[in-house]
Amino acid sequence: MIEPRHELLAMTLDTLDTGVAIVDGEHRVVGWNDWLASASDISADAARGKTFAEIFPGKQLDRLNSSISEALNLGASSFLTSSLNRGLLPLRTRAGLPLVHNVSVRPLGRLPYRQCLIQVVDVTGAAHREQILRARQNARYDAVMASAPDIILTLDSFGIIQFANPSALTETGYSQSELIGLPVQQLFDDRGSWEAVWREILEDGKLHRPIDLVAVRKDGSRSYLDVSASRWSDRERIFVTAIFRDVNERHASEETLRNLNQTLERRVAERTQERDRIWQVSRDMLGVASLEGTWISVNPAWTQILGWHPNEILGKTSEWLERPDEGQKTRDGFARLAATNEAENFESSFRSRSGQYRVLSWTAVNVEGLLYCVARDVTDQKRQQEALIRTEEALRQSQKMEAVGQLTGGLAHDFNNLLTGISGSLELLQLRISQGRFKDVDRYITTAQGAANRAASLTHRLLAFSRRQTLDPRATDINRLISDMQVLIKNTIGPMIELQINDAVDLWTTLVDPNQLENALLNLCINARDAMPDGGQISIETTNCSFDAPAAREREVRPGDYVSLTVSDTGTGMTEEVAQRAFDPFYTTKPLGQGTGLGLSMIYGFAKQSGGQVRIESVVGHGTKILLFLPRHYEMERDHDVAMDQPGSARAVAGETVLIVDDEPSIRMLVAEVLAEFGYRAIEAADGSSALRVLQSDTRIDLLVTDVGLPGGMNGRQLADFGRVARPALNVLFITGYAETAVASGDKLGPGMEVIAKPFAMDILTAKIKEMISKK
Amino acid sequence: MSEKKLELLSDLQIDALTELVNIGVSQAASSLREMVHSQVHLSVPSVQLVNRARAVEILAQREVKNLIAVHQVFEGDITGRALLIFPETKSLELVRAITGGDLPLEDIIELEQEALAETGNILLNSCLATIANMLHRSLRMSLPEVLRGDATTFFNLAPPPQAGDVVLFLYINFAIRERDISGYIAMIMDLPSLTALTHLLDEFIARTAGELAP
Repeated sequence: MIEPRHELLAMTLDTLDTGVAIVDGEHRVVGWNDWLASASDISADAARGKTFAEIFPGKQLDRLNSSISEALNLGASSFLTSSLNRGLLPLRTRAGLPLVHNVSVRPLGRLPYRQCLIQVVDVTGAAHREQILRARQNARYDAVMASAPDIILTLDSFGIIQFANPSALTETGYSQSELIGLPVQQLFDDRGSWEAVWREILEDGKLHRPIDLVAVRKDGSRSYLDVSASRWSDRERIFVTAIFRDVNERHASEETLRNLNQTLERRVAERTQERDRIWQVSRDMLGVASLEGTWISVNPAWTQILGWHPNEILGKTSEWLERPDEGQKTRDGFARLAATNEAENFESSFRSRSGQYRVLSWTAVNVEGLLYCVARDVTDQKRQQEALIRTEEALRQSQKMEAVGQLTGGLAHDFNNLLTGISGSLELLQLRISQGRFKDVDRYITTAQGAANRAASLTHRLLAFSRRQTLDPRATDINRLISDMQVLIKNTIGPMIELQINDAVDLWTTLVDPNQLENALLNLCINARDAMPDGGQISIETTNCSFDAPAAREREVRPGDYVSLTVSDTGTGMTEEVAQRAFDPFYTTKPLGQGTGLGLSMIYGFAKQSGGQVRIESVVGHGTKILLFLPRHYEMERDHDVAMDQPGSARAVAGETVLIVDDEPSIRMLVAEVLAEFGYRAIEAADGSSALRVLQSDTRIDLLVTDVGLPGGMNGRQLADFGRVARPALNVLFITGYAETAVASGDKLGPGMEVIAKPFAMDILTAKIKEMISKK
Repeated sequence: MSEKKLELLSDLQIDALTELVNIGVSQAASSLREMVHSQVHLSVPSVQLVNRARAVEILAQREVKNLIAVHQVFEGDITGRALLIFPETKSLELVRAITGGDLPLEDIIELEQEALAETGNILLNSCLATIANMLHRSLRMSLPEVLRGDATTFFNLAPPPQAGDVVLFLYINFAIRERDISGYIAMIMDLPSLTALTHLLDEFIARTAGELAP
């Protein structure tokens, strides 16, 4: 109970719905109204004279005490709120519930203050209402906020984070205390974008559309967030609640797509650049034209090749560049192009700035109404081709001259022989007439006539070279022919070389001149032998073969049945170049004088004239195979004259004997005559093979006199060499009218060999023979 | 112009005032410590005497437009208004600092008004009371009131100011629970009050010097 000065005042204080206490200078209660007594359940009498600390023992009342002191000492007024001083005093409502209260402390009266007024205001109702509301709201929102996978932030009007949901913590990596109070823009990489977003929210109350932002997590990593936000207010305070959705996945895929697009663009750009580069650097003229031939685009090569600038070319056809005589051709080319979608090739010449025409080889195609053209400048190529043709022409000409030269040489040789025969006969004729020995005159006349006949035979041979010889084809069994020649061939090739003969059983008959075939076979064997200076093997093989049309075409013969005769060796082989020229007349790989170069050529002529063919297969270092195809003949061989002439073999007589070998009978006769004069015996042979037979027999031979150039593939030198196989001490005198410097040149001649050139005087020959025989 | 006004107090007087204010805020700090049960540091690095217009200008230059203030009236030998001012931005932060814990936003908003009022009350009481006490004078102070607005609003409160009002402008730094919040204390008084303050300060200086003298 307060000490009332006035009844009314006391009544008023007790009736107040506010707690009122008055303390004195010692902080002791001097006044305590009914409201306070009721709320604290402490009567005024119980409270009087006590301090608050004594009335409410165990309560933390420092703040209240300081406030009382300040009020008494300084006149200060203090306000202790329930918010900051929860449950300051242990007060209860009438219903017994905790009473939420604010306390104010003020000095009473005037300075110096003797008393202090303490007022207690019940704010329970307001606090409860707020609590209930908040609890209801919280229940509603907490469920959303706590479970939302998105970041939800509430920001004050300055963008300071005031609230953050659990996802915000996990997504940003910040703790609750770090996040609250943080200016939200610090979460973003690009603050500028955030500022824009923020302005829009503050001004318009919300974001009109979600915006993407890049957030930086506490660990520095980046995260793409899509933000939506709206503004709200509470008690005049403005807040913004923003929801940030994690769009990293979407961004990653967008990024991938963008990268793809960028690389695509880059790749396209690169390709385009490449194409452009090709267009720019191409040495070929590239151009695009309309179907009418009007140029739309040309590359720099045009200027390089023709000298015209693009602006001179573009916008018109190229008619003004064309050669007047070619215009129609070019126009036809373009017309064909325009009509189809097929690529066309044609050539035309365009005039360059310098006035010269360049030959262009065009390839062009019509694609969707445009002509895409490529032209290559083939002017130089053309020139080179022409030059090549001219050179080839010149080469052929020179080869022809060379051939004529060789032929002339050969003819000179033969004619020398004939002349020697004729002039020798006339010399002897003169001698006999002067001696009065008319008995022998006929013989010399006959000899001279013979020489003249030989001239006819020479013509015959020339005709054979030109495949116009007169052949005497007969049904021939080639196997029989080979077996007849076997001994001769063996002797010819010598012991170093093995001969193998594989003749087909039931070989067909062929129609051929057997003498020429023998000649050819011997020739081939000699060639084979010469290809094997260190020995080897020669195989002679016969087979039947049938060529159908394609096979025949390949071999350049008529389709049908053929007999093939193959001579192969294991020798040096030929290069392709040599093989190609092997059939050329006068072509020889042998040293000059060792072969006339007519061997294979004659065989070729003979084979072709017989309706057959010759083929060479050769590999350098492995050997050569010559295949002779001769047409099948359906008649059997007639009786063959088996008894071959063995010249000289039956006339073995004691006394010095000379073997004379020359294809020219007049020379043989003359030499024989001279020898008879001196008491020598003479054996004559017309060619190498018959001479060899004599040499290989046991007939006495003291001297071999032989022409160097002999028919039948074996020359005099070879004959001498083979002769010496059987007779190592054989003396040889070469007669030559053709190639003095080759075979018969002194330095190549071995001991016991001499040479005499045609034409020669009989007494010189006689002296030489005498000298050589007497030396023996 | 405002610099001229500063001449109303000598350097020595300003120093004395700064010292008094610092004693006052340290008293406030200990009061806050009692309340929040945590370390609280308050400091006033400088004191300025400016006119009303200059005070508005300073706040407008340094701070955002939205400000919050705790207002109290004081009466006695010196009369005027005391304002604790800080940016609204810092308001919730300050409340959080004072209430501690991890209160939900709604609670903070709820508490803001009262908490600011009480905090401001403690600070202003301490400053004014300490000054009055040191000056051996007594001041009567009203209960706190929370105001929102800008500097102009705060410095033109009704009733209209007497001619020649001056503003004692103090910068104040709060350091509570690792949060640093800076604000201002402004004491608006009329010239007679300033004159009284000047005299009181001189007495204080004389007394202090006298005490210091042998």
